[in-house]
Amino acid sequence: MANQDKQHKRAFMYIYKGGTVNQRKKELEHGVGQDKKSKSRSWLHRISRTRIFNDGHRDLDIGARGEGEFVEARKSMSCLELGSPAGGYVEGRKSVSFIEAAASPAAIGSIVEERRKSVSHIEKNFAVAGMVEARKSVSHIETLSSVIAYLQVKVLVSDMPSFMQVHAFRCARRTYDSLEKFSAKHIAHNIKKEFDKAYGPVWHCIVGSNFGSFVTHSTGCFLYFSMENLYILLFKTKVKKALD
Amino acid sequence: MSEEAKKNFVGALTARPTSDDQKQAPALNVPPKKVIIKSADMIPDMQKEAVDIAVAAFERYNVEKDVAEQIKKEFDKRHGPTWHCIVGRNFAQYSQLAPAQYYKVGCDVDIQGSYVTHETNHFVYFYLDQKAVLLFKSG
Repeated sequence: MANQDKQHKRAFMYIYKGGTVNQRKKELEHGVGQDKKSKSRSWLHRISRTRIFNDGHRDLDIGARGEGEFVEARKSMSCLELGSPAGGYVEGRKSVSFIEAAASPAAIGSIVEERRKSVSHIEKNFAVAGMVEARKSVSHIETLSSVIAYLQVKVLVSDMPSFMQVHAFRCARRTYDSLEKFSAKHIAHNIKKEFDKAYGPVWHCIVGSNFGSFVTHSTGCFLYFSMENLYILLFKTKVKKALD
Repeated sequence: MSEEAKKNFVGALTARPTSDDQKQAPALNVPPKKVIIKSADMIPDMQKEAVDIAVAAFERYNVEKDVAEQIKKEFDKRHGPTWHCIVGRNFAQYSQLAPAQYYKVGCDVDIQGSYVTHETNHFVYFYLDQKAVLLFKSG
């Protein structure tokens, strides 16, 4: 009795938020089906129906409408927007993998139900995570090795934390790709300015295809890597007050 | 120990000289190397000192890294830390003197870049034959 009352209330909320005739029809059909089945089966079905209702509720809250496929596509796109190409790719594959896993136990519910379930799961993750969480997630997915492979750089010598290395690689690749006419000086300029701004003065950057060097650098602030046929040396020195 | 190892290494190198070295080896009097001061923010005495140390280093070592090491260590010893030295034939440099002042230095053929911030009055960039030497103090 109490359960039925709750169910009734939820149904009311559902109708109120949905506001479409199609959804009302679906509910009516569900009710008819429920009456025809046996008692124990009816109970299980009732629970299942509740889950579906919850899923639908969340869908409405998030603002998604229409079939599962549409929702899936929208989320996938959203994911790409949030992350870099590498991250997006990994995320996309993760999504596919999840659906495959979910589809394995065919005994549980129908195909449509299963699909909606997986959709709901993904939505839940993003809904709870929020912007910061999503960014963090993407950052986690992008390991140092994956970034190196993606940007096609080779680390020769490094005394620098991973995130700073990734920062240097991205900056170098971005500058290199954006230059119409090649200029190693421009690359060096951009990298040094970027690091001076992000991690404090004083950074030095040398870019070239044929040079040797001997420098003294701060602890944890040295990186020597190659990209295309260039070699890039990046290091930091301590700031000393002027004697004059 | 490391010094002895270096000497042995240098000995090994001299045992099998390159064609360029062969050309120069027979000559009894080695002609003075051509020095071009491309850019300098350094007192003349220190400039001359840098050039002399570089010439001596090039005579002793064949690897650019070792030449840079020699020059830097010598300057750290004589003029206090911290100096940095880059030696090579294919690089250039973009240096910041003051907030709004910049030096631009580059090879005539290959304009490539490094970007450094150095202390005022402690910077020199010169050519020694085909090699470029960048020496500056920072930190």
